[in-house]
Amino acid sequence: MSVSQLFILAALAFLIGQLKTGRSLVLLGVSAFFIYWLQPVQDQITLTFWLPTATLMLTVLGWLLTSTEGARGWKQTLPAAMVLLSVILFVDLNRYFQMDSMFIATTPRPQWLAGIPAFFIIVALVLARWKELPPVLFSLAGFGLISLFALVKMPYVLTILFDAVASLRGKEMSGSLTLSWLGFSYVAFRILHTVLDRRAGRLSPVQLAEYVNYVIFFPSFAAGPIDRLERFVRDLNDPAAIERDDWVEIGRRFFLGLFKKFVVADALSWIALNQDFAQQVDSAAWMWFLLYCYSLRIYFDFSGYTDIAIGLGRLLGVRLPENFASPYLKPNLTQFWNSWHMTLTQWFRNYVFYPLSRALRSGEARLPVTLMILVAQTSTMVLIGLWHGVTAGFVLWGLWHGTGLFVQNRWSDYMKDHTPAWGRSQVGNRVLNAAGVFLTFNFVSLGWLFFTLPTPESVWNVMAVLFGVV
Amino acid sequence: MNAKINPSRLLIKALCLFVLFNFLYVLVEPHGAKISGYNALFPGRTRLPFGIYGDPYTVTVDDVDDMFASHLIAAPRQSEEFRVALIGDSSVWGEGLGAYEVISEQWNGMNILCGNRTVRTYNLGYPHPSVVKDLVILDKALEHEPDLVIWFVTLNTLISQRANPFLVANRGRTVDVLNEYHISFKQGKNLTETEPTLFERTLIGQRSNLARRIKLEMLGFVWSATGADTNTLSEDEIADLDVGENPRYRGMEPPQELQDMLLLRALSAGNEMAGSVPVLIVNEPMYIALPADALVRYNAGYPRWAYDQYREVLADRAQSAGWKYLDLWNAIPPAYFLDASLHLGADGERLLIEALNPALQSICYPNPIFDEDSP
Repeated sequence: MSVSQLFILAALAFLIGQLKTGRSLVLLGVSAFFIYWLQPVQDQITLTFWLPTATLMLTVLGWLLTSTEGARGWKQTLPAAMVLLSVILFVDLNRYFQMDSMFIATTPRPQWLAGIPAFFIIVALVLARWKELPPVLFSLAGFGLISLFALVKMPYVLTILFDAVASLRGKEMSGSLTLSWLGFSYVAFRILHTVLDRRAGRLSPVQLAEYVNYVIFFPSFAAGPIDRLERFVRDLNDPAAIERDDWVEIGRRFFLGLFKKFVVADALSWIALNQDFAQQVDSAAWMWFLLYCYSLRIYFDFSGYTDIAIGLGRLLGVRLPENFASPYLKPNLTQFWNSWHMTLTQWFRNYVFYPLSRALRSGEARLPVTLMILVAQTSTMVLIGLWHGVTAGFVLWGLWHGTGLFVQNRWSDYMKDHTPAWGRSQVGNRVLNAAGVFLTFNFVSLGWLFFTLPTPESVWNVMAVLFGVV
Repeated sequence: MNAKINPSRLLIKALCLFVLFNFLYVLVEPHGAKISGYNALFPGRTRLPFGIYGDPYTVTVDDVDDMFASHLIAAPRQSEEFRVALIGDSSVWGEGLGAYEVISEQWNGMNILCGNRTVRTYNLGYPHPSVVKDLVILDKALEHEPDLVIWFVTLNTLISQRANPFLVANRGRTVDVLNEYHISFKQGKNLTETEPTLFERTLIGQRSNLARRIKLEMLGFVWSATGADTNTLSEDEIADLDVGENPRYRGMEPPQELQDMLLLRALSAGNEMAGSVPVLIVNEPMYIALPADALVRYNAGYPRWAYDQYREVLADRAQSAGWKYLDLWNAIPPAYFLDASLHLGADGERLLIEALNPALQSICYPNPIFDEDSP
């Protein structure tokens, strides 16, 4: 996203925030436009249209699945459905308007789009046959969504699939396929949250406009945070009034976010460690320097976007959850993960770590507690790694953090009874805290190597330089 | 914390400060003050910064003062140094070569003596073939008191009449040079008639230039850490060496006369500008396809008819004007080029140095070896 696009979004957020009626529908239309507007152009040009369309379709499917009969009334549903279809149709008509700077002009013929409402009407009719949806349907939906997520994150499998489709159509595909599906990681996890909560009977049904607004809410669409549906809908329907002091806070968050992202992070990106630099540097000091730049860059980039999202959300009366709380100043890894990408961590805690821990505890083969913790933490962290992409690097990153968390937890437990007397004094406590911050920051920074470098071998080579092994 | 802050007043104050800073920037023109971390925090670069799309090491900064501030030539002069400025286009800059493979660094590695001084060459080549651009760089280079200027030219250098981005970015200096030396440059009017607007001179108007200057300074860390200033070509990226059979040159075909199109006046101006500093003009070596493939063209850039004309005209003018001139057009075998035009590989640069060394020695130890049959 560019600065000018963000200013346009801020202006839109301000205007929508001032609306007394029809707010939800206008927000829905703007959010839907937004996902087409910002969708990067794909190698397979028609995907530039179909990926955002698929986002909307998946979202509506998610709503159909998680809503109840009472929330599916025509009166509540039709306006939102019309807004969504109008947006899709408008973008599709760009084949005639040729506004290439905003939307892709290579779109399908409008008659193709008639299939979209037809599809949803059929799904709705089928679902309406059940008074209470069978749990297996939610499991299937969850499994389907996770499979799609995994597929999107595996460019090599996608390439094979697209190759096969192309050859069926008698065409040839050149090169490998990389899919850049804007916001899909967040969309999938928001929908998954609603499906899993609905299956567990924890989700109150919401209307179509509320649900789609939750999933594609434009301030948080591309880079989070991941809100919870009920909390979001409460704010959406009863937006927090913006008092005098709030304007200052909104401005502070928005401009601080812009500064973090477009000044600090972008400047650091010029000198942050990457594959090119990693191959050229043979001095440990310089390698550490470039690695620290990468660590700071990734933090300022991501937390900058979160600040912008929170500022824009507040303009719309929605208090988005915080995502970062000075993570690099935390004295241990557990605290780091309680303050880094907090909403994603919370998601995995709720839907992976706790259920897995419960399953391990209640299983027939009772594992030792220590082993259970190790398995639960490592599995959760590996899955968080895979959320970023299905590669060996992300798996290793997950293992790195999972193991790190386990070791740190054991160490913290041990130190409860073994902290030397000097460590309990105020000065000693500060020294230990500072040492903890230093160790945690360096541990996390080393972990970023798995993010930024393409192969485990290159990570090993850089580690060797960092520690003076070569 | 914010209880006493009035948002409207805050907004008005912020806007006022914003406007004030922009106008202050116009008044002060701080881009005139060249502050650089190069040659202080970081070592100076071995060649001028030039951006290549997608290359993480590079950035284009067209302002000649900024470019020189980051260059090794801006470092304090070493005593006992015989300073040689190398001027030219991408072939001198070293397209496709690493920062320490370029002609200047290889030459410096030879530790050649000139009298009792060590020859230190400075690569001031820049990838825009334009003799006017070369003059602007020469004008700037002379501030650093070279003992010798070696100026590499080719047909494209002398025929270019385009106001390229470098000339636009340095329009003041360019116009001064054109006027002072009475050089008739086709797009000179574009430079004089496109004064920057007030908005373009504000902080906001200058944001792109500022961002690139800041990036150049930030890249000082990368330069220090890696000693690289560009991604070098890998084997499979070496360009296709097919020269084709098209006789056209810049839309022209024989028997078009090129003499009046060549900006030979700029070469005289360079000699005048240099004053007592000797200027050696070198017709740079180029890829020459095997005879069987080169019936129409010598290489991807030049058809025979155009290049032969240029060479003859240049040699005649050099002789009549009494320039120090060296024609190395066919001095390097084709196997030493990275592409089918003018860009040498590292070994080719070494051969070029060997071809240039006698001329350098003759300047250090005067001996009239220059004639049109050199080398």
